[in-house]
Amino acid sequence: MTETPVPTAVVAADGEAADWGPLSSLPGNPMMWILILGELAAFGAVFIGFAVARALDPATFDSSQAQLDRLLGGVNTMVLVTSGWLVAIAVRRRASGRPHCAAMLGAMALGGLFLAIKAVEYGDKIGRGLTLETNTFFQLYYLMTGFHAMHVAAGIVILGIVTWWDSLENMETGAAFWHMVDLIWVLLYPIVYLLR
Amino acid sequence: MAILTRTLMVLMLLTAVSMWAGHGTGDLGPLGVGLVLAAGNVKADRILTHYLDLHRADSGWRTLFRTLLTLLGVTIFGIYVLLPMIGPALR
Repeated sequence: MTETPVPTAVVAADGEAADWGPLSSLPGNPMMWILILGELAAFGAVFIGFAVARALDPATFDSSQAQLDRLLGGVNTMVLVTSGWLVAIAVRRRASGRPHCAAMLGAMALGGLFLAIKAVEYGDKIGRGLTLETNTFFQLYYLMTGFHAMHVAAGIVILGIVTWWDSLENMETGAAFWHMVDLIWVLLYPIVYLLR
Repeated sequence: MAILTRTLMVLMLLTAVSMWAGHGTGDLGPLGVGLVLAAGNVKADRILTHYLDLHRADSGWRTLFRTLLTLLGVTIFGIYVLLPMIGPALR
């Protein structure tokens, strides 16, 4: 099956295509791409900060990281990329005028599953006395994964909104936010859970 | 939509590769660190290209995002692998 092309032009309030300069060739709303670039830069700086903090105290970071559940982190990665796949499918279906609600609802359900798994992880760590105050590793762990989880929660709300008001531009914009959340996690997971 | 499903399969496979390379205890070594970071980098690139449809944008945007991801990966690799090697020599 071939991929369905999706229109990209952003239409201004007066009905004319808005001129976003170099941003115009990007799919969906260009403002979302500015957000994606900003989030990549912000999380990128945090990832480098995490690596530098680890370089300063590798023993603490390695013993703390061993307390994390790498399997649950990996399962959550698979949950999130599958959710992203469903959202991408929903946008293609919307572009070709086919039903897309089931794919969006499935994506939101998987987003909820991601948060549930994250809650299980947090519950386990807090139950073992591993909190924000334990050491620098756990401060950064809760900060990075918590900030990301907030994006997932916001993303589920945004997906709900664009499922209800399902113009193609709304769908593309909501999908772009969700894929950004996905993108950040696939970079965060190896750095926090695996590298040592 | 076949490309999206192929992308999902690649993402799943690379996640499994990362989990395998990063399992157990002890130092991953330069090869392990490189493998885990490369898998993450390729996953991020696939998400940008196919889920976010960056392949439809000007080539300059693709180059910008790939450059950013590569710089991030190389920097993290340098901090994890090269810094411990050159650190003692600098002291």
